[in-house]
Amino acid sequence: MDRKKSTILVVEDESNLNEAYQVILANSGFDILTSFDGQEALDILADNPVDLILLDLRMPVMDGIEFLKEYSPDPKKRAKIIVFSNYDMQKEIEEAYSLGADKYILKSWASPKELIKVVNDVLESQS
Amino acid sequence: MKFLRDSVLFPPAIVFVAIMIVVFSSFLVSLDDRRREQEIVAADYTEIIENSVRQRVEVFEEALRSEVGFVTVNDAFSKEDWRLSIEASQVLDRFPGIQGIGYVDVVTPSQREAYEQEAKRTVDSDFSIYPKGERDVYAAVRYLEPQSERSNAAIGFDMFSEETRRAAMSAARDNNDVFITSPVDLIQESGDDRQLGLLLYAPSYKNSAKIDTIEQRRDSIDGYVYIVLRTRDFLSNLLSDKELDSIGFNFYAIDKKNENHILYESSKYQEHVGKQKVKSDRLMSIKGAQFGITAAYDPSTVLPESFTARSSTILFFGTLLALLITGVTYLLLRGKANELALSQERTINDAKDSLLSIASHQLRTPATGVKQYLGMVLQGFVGDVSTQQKSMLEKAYESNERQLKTINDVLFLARLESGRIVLSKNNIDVKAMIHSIVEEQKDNAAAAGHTVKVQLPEKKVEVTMDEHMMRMTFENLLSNAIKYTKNGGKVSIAVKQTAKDVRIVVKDNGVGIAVVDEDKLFKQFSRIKNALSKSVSGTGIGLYLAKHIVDLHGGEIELESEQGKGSVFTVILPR
Repeated sequence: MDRKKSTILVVEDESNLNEAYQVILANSGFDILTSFDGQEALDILADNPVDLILLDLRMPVMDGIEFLKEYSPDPKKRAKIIVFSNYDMQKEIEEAYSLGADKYILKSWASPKELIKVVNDVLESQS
Repeated sequence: MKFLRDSVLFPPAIVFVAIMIVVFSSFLVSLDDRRREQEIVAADYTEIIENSVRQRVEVFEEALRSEVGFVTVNDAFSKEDWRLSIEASQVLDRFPGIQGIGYVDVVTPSQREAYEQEAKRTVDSDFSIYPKGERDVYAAVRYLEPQSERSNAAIGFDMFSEETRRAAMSAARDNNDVFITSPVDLIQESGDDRQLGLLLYAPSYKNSAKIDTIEQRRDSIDGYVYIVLRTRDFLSNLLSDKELDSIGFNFYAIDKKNENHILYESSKYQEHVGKQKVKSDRLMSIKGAQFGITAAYDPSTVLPESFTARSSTILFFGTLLALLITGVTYLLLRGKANELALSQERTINDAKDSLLSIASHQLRTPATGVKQYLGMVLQGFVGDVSTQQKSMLEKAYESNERQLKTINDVLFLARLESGRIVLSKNNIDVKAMIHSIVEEQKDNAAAAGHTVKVQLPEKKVEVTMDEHMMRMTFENLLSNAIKYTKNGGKVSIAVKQTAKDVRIVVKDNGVGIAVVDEDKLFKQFSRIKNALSKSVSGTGIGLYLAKHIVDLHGGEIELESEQGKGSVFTVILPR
């Protein structure tokens, strides 16, 4: 897979952060799709192939956990998922992993460089 | 919650008091019942005695009436005729209480002379009506069986001359019925064994006379048949010997003047009355005479044991039952209260969790925004920045990092204190963990010009612990050692294993801690003053958190320190 052409779907309701992720990831050469809640993300996914989803948990309309429950594509076309949240409760972390998240990252932990590193690591990992 | 648990005692106490009131009332009622039943038993005895007396009197009446029949059909009958008649009736043999049965003739003053002459011939040569003197009418004893010296003394006695006898005789005559006298001294009695006697009279009228009215009866009265009762004998054997052991009674006559005359007293009467136990009085009226019966007894000798014990049984089992119900009520209520308290605790904790969760999100999100944008600028995502700009941005970035760390620490602490963090324990290689922590902080130590010495045992050291939390603890201790030591200092971290525990020793030659501050050190949000506290950032949470975590692992933190010389923190974890 050509790394430069990987498509990442950002799902984040906080517009400042949404924009920051777009800038950081676009700057690193990824194609970016963006949405502000789980439902919007599902709509985009219906028409667009995506390699990785950067998923917030707490969002209006449809939150991240609901999204993970609803998201059920053909396993071969399934995008990698990084849950990028400010929740660090054990319960949410475990639930996200059990619903198919590939990585759970605390937002406040990752600087822009660290974010890119995690994204690359997950994309390169064999699921 | 505490109030709720304490108040659980209240309803059972009410239940206990309520049941005990019922039990105690029942106890009192049963005591009363017992008393009443005992009195009924005593009354039953007096009734038995009365009935026996009545039965005996009835028999005497029969005997009297049959003799009256004999007298009426025989215009004249001799002493021998009388004897044979009495003998035939066997009345003397059947009732030992009858001392004698006799016949009295009614004699007018005009007949007296002739009568005495006739009686001297046919009855007794010494016959004379006595006491001497002129009276309206005489009622002289003519025959009295059985004959004896004693009974012969009564022959010729004018019974009308004595008031008590005359009253009973007059009543018998006027009513054509048997009448009993009040107690009298018997004429034939003498010596020490004098007893009061009762006389029963039955009237005998002239043959075929009309006796419908009192006047007719008075006109046609011819004589009387009478029975002499020795009362003591008459009243004995009313109860069995066994009954007389357990109950005492007396039988007394009440005369016209309302005076009592004891006729009989059972052998143990005084003993029973003396015990002041249960007493019952009964008055009876029979054949014109008034009598009274008093029964007294000791209930324990008469009533069955179980009956006597009933009241105490009620009290005992009632109290037992009350305690049982109270206990069950208490247990049920306590269970319910605990359940309620637990569910309230759960609700509160759930609310706390939810609040913490939201707070953590709301506090971190803006700080995260700052971090990303500053990060982008700092990390060259939007072009080069000047050295001066970079230096300022780095300070902003660090401030933001510290804020995030504080938020994380406070939230972690809050969750730790609410008991919502469960230790996730595994066997952890302590050497590897310490090594990795030192690696992480190497740069910070180097920046301060410290030398860092690491002493690890050769053998693998494994301790069961929550890796994430213990890591936070050691990170804290090491970063404190680095922070609170002046540049160019010495910091060391060592792992030692003993038979009982594993010790992680973090040592520095920094500012040290004054003895007076040692107590404050492990308290929440307390930062102590030292040479570097103004220039070193901190939340005052680190050591408190460290102690809390070590406590949760059943271990302890020891501190040795001297101000200006340095500190040694030793974490002791049980193996």
